[in-house]
Amino acid sequence: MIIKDKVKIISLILILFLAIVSVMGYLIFQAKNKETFNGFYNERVLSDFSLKDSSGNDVSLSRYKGKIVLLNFGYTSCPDICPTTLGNLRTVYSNLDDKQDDVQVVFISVDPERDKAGKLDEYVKFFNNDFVGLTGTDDQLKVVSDVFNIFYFKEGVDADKDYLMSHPTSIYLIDREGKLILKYPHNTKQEFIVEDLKRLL
Amino acid sequence: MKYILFIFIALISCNREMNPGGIEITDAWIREAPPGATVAALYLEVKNNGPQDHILSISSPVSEIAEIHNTEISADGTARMVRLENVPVPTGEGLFFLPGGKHIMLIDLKKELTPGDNHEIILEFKNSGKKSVNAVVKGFSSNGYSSDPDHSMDH
Repeated sequence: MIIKDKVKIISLILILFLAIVSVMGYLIFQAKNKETFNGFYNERVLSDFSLKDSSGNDVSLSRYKGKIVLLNFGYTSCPDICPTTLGNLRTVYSNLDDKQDDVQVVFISVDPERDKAGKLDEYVKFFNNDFVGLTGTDDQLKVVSDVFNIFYFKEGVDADKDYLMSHPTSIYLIDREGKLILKYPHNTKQEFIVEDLKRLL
Repeated sequence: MKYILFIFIALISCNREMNPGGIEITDAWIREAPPGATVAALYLEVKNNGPQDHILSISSPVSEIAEIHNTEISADGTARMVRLENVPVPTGEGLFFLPGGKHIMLIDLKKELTPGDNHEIILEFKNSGKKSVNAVVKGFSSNGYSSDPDHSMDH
C-alpha cells in the first residue's frame, strides 16, 4: 500500500517535471525563433481585405495563401522612398533564385486618384514582372489601413494635381497562412530580408 | 624666387575664380524613373569652405520644377515630405542629399532618364551665385542607402 502510494507520488512529480520542462523548452524555442529574425517580430492575424488589380478585378489577400507576401505601401508619384524600397525588393527577389515562386511582392498604392490601374501596373512591373500593384476605392483602402493600423493622407494640396502623399514606409512580411509575422523599416539591408525569407521558405 | 611666388599667387587666384565662395558640389546623381513616373529624386553633396551660404533655388533642363524636400519618418514608420526653402549650407560642413532624407524632387520630367546619361543641374546660392553640376542617372541596381552611391554598387 505504502509502496504503491510512493510510486504514485513519484510518477506524479515526474509527469509534472516533464510538463514544466517541455513548456519551458517550448517558450525558449519560441523566444529564440523570434530573436533570430532580422525583421521586427510582429505576429498578428490579419483579417482579409480586397483591392483592385490592373484589370479592375477584386483581389483579396487570401488569394496569396501558400506564398509569403512582402507588402509595402506608396504611390507612383513618390520620388524618394517608394522607388528605393521597390528597388531593394527587386534585389531581394532576384536573390531568391528557385524560391521566387513562393514569394509575392505586393505594392499597394494609397493614391488611387492618380494611380489608375494601368499606370500602377506599368510602374510596379518595371521593378520586376512578377510584382503586383494593387489599389482600390477609398472604402477599400480604409479597410486595409485598419487591418495594418497605418495612416496615409494627402499633403500640401495646391488645387493642382501635384500633391504628395504621406504613407507608411515599412515592409510587411506575411506568412503562407496570411498571418503578419515580420515588419522591416524601409532602410533594412536587402540581405537581411533575404536571410529571413530563406529561413522561412 | 619671385617668379615662383608669382606662379603660386596666380594659381591660388585662378582656383578662387573657379571656386568663388568655396562651394563644391559632388556626387550628384538622379535615380532612374520608372515608366509613367512624372517625378524623380536627385541626390548630391554640397561642401562649403567659404562663409555660410544658402541654397535659393535649383533648376534643370530635366524637369519643369525642382524642389528641396526632406523625408521625415515618424516612429510608426509613416513618411512625410516636407518642403525646405532657403536651405543653409554652413561653413566647413557637408550638406548631404541622400535617399530617405533630404533630396531634390524633380517634378514634371521633360526628359527620359536613362542610366548613364548626364544632366546639368543648376543650384543658385545666396552669396555664391549660380553653380552648375552634372548629375549622372543611376539605375535601380545601384540602389541602397549607402552615403556613397558609387560604392553601394559593389555590395
